[in-house]
Amino acid sequence: MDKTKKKQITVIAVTIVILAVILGLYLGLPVDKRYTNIIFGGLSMQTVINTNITNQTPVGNKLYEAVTKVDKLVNPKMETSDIYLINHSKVNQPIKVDSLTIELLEISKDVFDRTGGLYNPASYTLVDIWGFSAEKFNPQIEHTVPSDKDIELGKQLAQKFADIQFIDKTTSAEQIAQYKANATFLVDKVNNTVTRTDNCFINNPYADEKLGAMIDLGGIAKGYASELCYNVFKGSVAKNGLVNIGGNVYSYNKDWKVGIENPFKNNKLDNGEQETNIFGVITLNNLSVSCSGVYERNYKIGNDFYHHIINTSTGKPQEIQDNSIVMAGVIGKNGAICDAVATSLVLMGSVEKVEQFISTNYTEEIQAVILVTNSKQYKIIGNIPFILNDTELVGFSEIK
Amino acid sequence: MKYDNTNIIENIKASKYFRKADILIVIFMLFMFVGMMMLIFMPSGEKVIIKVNGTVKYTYNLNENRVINLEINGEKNANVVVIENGYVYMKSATCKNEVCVNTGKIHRVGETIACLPHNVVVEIVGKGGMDTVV
Repeated sequence: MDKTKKKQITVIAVTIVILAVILGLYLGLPVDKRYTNIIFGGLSMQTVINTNITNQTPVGNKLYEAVTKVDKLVNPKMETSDIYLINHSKVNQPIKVDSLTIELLEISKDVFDRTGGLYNPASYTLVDIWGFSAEKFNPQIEHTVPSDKDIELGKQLAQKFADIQFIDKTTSAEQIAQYKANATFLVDKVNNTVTRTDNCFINNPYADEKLGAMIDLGGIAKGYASELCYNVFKGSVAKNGLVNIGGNVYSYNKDWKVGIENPFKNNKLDNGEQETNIFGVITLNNLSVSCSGVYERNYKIGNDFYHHIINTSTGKPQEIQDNSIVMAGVIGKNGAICDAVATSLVLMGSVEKVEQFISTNYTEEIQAVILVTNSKQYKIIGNIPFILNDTELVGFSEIK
Repeated sequence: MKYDNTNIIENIKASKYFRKADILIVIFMLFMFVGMMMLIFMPSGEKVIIKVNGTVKYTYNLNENRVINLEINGEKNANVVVIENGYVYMKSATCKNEVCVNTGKIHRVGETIACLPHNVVVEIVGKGGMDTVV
């Protein structure tokens, strides 16, 4: 080999090596040092999967912290959580809670009032007797319809949330005395305690001990946590990011594409093929989306279909007829509110009722709503870039 | 060889160690490298869908060259669709007006070629890349 050939080979080799090293260094940087396209999410607050960032990095660490903090306070299965302690408290026993728990209760009461009680965290007992609580849910086991007596008890306990009262430093002594006499849940914002008064309990036909109303913040906590993560992104050096906590998504600083599941994806079409997974794709930038659907958790008893969205007035799963809403997606800036409202929209039952509700409520916090009915009709209320998966969906039509 | 500072390029051309060929090779390698990176990191391309009588019958990738012969109402090669180098066009059609053939080449998402007499529509659709699913 003569000198020039050697030189040529060396030049080529060195160029390749330099380029490879540069690329490797760039790709090898942890995502939050590259500061773009951070994705953080999982099936629930307990399981963080599908993420390209570890908790060893500054941004990742704060994200994990935010989600873990919420989970530790509201997880009804965790015996040290605020919610567990409240649900197992004795009559008039004040439970010390975190201010975050109090904030969630306040937001919950506000959504409860505005949705006419359709969003109700004290539906926990009802959800449990129908087998849909986090502890119980198992689609494989055989289910039986709960007794009318149990349904009646569940309804009574759910009603207790209507009389939750909040005490702060401006509350007068007379008012406090009145609350102590009439309220069910007493939330003391001065001392950071939650107490279940005697009014919160009813007689237990099965045992000597009284039955107290129980709270589950599962319908609002993940949305709230997703907004906490959004705030982490905002306050960090991340250029953009996306968080998805059990279906509650918050997008930061980029046109993120979020796919919405086809509520009928578990069905088979007439030709024997499986229905497609995706209903459509929305583009979110600095916005949150929360979806609630009857097909998320359900089981069959014989030919009868039972799902997890319980109507607290009837004590039973929301009745589904042809034009009933089977899925509602809420898009807006407030993660907690989007989460809580999504379930209540399914309980409103019809597209017309939802349109009426949205036109007068949360006009600031909610930017758009996506509805799908049992007859595969869909409606987009408000403004959001949306692409229907019309090349693969079968039988869908838009309500204009 | 004399190295004159005012004539560096001539010197490079003439030099034993840095021939023109070397520079070309380096540039070539750079292009190869960039091309490789693009293949690895760029998301997969759009799709071409062919609808007959309103329903999607065939789906292809826009980046795969192909000739598709459609049989309509028992007539073979009633429409011939070509996917070539990221473009799609109707090569030939047995319909009278041949509007579809005269449509020319399409390549952007949303663009269509329609053969109304045969009820055939060729459309370019987005890859539908999603970052997450709810």
